Amino acid sequence: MTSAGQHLLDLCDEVLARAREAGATAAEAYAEYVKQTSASVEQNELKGASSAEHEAIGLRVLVGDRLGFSYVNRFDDEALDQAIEDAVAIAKASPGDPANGLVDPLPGKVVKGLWDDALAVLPPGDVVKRTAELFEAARKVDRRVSVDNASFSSTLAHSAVVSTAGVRAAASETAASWALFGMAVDGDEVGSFDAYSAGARTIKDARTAAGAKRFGETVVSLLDPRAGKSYQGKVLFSADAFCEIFLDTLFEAIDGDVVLKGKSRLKDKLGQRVAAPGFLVVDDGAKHGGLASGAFDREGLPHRRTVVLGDGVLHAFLYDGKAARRAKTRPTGHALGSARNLPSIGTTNVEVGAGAASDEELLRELGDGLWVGRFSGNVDGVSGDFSGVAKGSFLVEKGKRTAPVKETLIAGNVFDGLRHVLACGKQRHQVMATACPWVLVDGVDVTAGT
Amino acid sequence: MLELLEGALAHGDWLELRFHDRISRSILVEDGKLEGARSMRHAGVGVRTLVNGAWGFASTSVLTPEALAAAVGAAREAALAAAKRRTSKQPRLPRLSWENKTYRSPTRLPLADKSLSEKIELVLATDAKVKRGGSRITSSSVRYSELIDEKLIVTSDGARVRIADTKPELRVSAVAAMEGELQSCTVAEGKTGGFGDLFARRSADEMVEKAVKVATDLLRAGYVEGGKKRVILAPDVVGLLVHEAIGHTVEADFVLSGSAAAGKIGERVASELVTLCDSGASEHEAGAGGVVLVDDEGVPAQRVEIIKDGVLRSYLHNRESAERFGVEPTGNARAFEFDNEPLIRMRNTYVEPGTTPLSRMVADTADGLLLVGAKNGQADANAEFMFVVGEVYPIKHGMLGPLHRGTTITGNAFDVLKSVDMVGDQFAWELGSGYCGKGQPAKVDAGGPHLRCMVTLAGKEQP
Repeated sequence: MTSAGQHLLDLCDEVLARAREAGATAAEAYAEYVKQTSASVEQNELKGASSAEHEAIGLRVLVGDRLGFSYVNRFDDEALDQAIEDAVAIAKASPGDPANGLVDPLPGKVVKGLWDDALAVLPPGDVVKRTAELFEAARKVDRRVSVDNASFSSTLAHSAVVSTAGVRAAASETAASWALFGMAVDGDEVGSFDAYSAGARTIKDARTAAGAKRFGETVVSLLDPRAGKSYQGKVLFSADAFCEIFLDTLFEAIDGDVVLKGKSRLKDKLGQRVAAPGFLVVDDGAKHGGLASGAFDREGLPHRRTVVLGDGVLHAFLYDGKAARRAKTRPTGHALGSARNLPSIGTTNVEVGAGAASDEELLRELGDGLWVGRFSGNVDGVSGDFSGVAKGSFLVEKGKRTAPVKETLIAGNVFDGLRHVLACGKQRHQVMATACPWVLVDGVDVTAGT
Repeated sequence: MLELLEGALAHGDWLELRFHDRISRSILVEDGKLEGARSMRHAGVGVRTLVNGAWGFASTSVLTPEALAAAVGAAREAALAAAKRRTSKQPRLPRLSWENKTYRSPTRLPLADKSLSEKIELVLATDAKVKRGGSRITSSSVRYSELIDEKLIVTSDGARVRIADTKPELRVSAVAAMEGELQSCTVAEGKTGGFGDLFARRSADEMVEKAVKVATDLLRAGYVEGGKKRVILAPDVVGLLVHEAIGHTVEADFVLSGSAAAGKIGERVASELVTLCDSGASEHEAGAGGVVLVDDEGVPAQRVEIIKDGVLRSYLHNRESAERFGVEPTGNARAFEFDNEPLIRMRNTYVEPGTTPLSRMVADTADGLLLVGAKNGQADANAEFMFVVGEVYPIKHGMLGPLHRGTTITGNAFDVLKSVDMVGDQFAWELGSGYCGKGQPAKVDAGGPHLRCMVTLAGKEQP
C-alpha cells in the first residue's frame, strides 16, 4: 500500500462517516489522484507541454433503496460537505429501486505489471523529447506527411474505493500513451487523414517508432484515391475497422443492463451459436500489464478473465452490481468508470482469437474486393445495422491491395456479419487494449462513389 | 477570486489564468426507472504561459495563492522544456483592447427556478409518456442534463473578463419492436439559457410524439437505393454538413496542417446561393446551444462569414492564429473545463436562409429524396464526409412519399455546396444537444434552412 493509496482510503472513510451523519443508510466513496505530464505537436511544430494534477471523489449514497450521486474535485471540508449534502438530497428526491445497492466484497488476485517507477517520475523534458521523436519518426517517412497533432503523455494514478458494505481497496498504476493524427499533402492534393494511438504500462515498453513509421506510410499510401467498385459479398476488415463496427456492437449487446432492458439482439442467445464456428472473443481485466487491467473494478471487485464467445457460442453477459441484482446473478467485475460517474458496464482488455491465415493469404482469399482500414459511420447498437464510409481503405485486385478508394460506402448488419466470418488472420494487431486480427466477413454491401 | 488570480500574475512572461467553476447535473430515466441522478462540481484554474516561443500549461483545483504559484511554476517549467525543441519562432500574440465586463447569456425561465424534485419528475413523466406511446414501444429513455458555468479570465496583458451561462439539454429515445426487429429514434434539444429556451420550439410532449412515431414507422419502412441523388437536406442535416465537413476545415489550426480549405480564401467554393457563418451569438432564432459571447481567451465572439455568396472569405481564429494570418481574432478559442487548454472551435455554425418555401422545393423536384434526422457524422481533412440520417422520404414528381429507413450519405462537402440550387426560407438551430469532439468536448450548435443539392447515398436492397 502506497502512502498516497492510504491517504485516499482515509479520505473515503471520513466521507462515508460524514455521509451517514447526513442521512445516508449506505454509501460508497471512490477517490482518485492523477498526475499527467504531456507534450504536443501541432501543425508540424512542437507546440508546448503541460502538467496537470487532479484529485476527485465520487460519492454514491443510498437512503433506503433511493440513490444519489455527487462528484467534486476538491478535498477541502467545504467542498466535501457540499458534495455529501448534494448526494443525500438527490437520493431523498428520487424514487426507490430495489436494484439500488452496494456490492459485497470479493477476494481477488494481485494484478502485476501496472506500475513503473521510471514512468512515474518521467520529467517534462523527457516527455517533450519523446513527443518530438514520435513526430519526427512519422515525418521522416516522406516529406508529404503532415502531422496535425502528435502527443505523448505519462500518467500516474492512485485510486481507492471504500463502501459501507465492506469493500476496501486501493491501487496505484502508471501508463504512457501516445497518438498521431494527420494526413499527406502533395501540392493541391490533401489525402485522407489517419490516426495512430497506443499505450504501455512501462517506459521500457513505450516504443513509438514502428507505429509512427506505419502511420507515415499509411497517410502517403492514401494519396491519389480512385473510385471503388460496387458489389455485395466479402470484405476484409482491418483490426481497427473490425473493432469499431463489430466488437463495440457485440459488447453493447452483451452488456447485462442492455440485455435486461430488451435492447439486445442477443438477449435470448446465451449458450447459442451467434458467430461463425471457431470464433473466439475473450475479455481479461486481470491480464499482466494490460492497458485496461486494474486491481479492481469501479465497485472494488476483482477483474477476471471472461470468455464471451467460444467457438462462436455466446458464453457470458457482463454485469455490474446493479444489473446483477436485477438479473438475479453475480457481478462479473465489469463496472467501469472514474470518480466522475456512477459505475457503468464495460470491457477491459479484449482478445479476438487468431486464425490460421497470414494477412497475405486473407487478401488472396478475398481475391477482388475491399480492404477496410477504418470506418467512419454509424452502427445501430440495437438492430446491428451499420453503414458508413470505408476510410483508409484499399481496392483489392487479384489478392493484392492496389489503390486507395474514395467515397466508398459499406453497409451490413453486425449480427449477420458475425455469423458470416469466413476467416481470421493469424497475426493480431493491438488497437489500444484490444488485440484483434484482420477478419474476412461475407455479405457486406459496398457502394462506390463516382 | 479576481484578487487571487491577479496575485499570481507576478511573472515576467505572458500569462493567462482562467478560473472555471462548473456545476453539472444529469438525470437519466430508462423504462420507468431512475437509473441515475448526479450532481458534479468541477472547478479550478487553468494556467497558460508563453515562454521562449513555446506554450506551457498547468492546472490546479486548489484555490490558494500557494497552489496557484505552484501551477504557474509548473506551466513555466513545461514551456521551457518544450522551447528547447522548437525549431521555429512563435509569433507574438496580437495586442487587444479588452472589454472587461461580465458576459451573461440571455436566459428565459432560469434553470434554478425548478427544484431538483421538479426536474426528476419532468424526466420520469416524459419517460412514462414514451412508454405509453403504443404497443410496439418496448423501451424508453429520457435524459436531462444541465451545465452551469462561471468563469473569470485574467491575463498579464489586461483581460479581466467574467462569463456566466447555462446550457440545458433533453434527450428522448424510443425503441420499437416487431417480429424480432428493433428500431429506435432519439429526439433531442440542447440550448443556451433556461427552460424557456429549451422548450421554445417544441415541448417535451412533442419530442415524445416524434420519437415514438419515427421508431414505430421505421419498423415497416423500406430501404432506398444507393447512388448519387438529388436531395433536400433538412436543417439538421445542413447543420451537420456545415459543422463537420466545412467548419472543421476552416479552423485555422487545421488550415495550417493543410486542410482542404488551405489557400482558398477568395476562391469560389460553393454555389453563389450559399452564405455560411459561424457566430458566438444565436442568429435568427434565440437559444442556440453554442452561444459564446466571449471566448476563453477573453476575446469577444464575432460573427464570421466563412463563405459569402459562394466565395471563401475567412477562417476561424484564436489569438495565436490570428497573428500568424495577420487578421483579427474571431473569438473561437474555447476550453471545455479549467484543466483543458483553449483550442480553436466552432460556436454556432449555419447557412443563411434563402427565399424558397420547402413546399416549392419539393414541388420542383421530379425525382429525389428529403433527408431528415442527422444522427452523427464525421469528415475528413479533404472535406469528404460521412453522415448518418435517420429518416428518408422519397420525392417523385414533386410529391413527398412515405418514410424509408435511414442511410449514410457521403460526398465532398465543397462539391455538395457547389451543387446547391435551392435554399429554403425557414431557419432552425438543430445540433445543440451533445458535444463536438476535438481532443476535448465543446457545446456547439448548427443549422440553417433546407438546401437542395446532390449527395451519394449508401443503399440496401429491399429485404
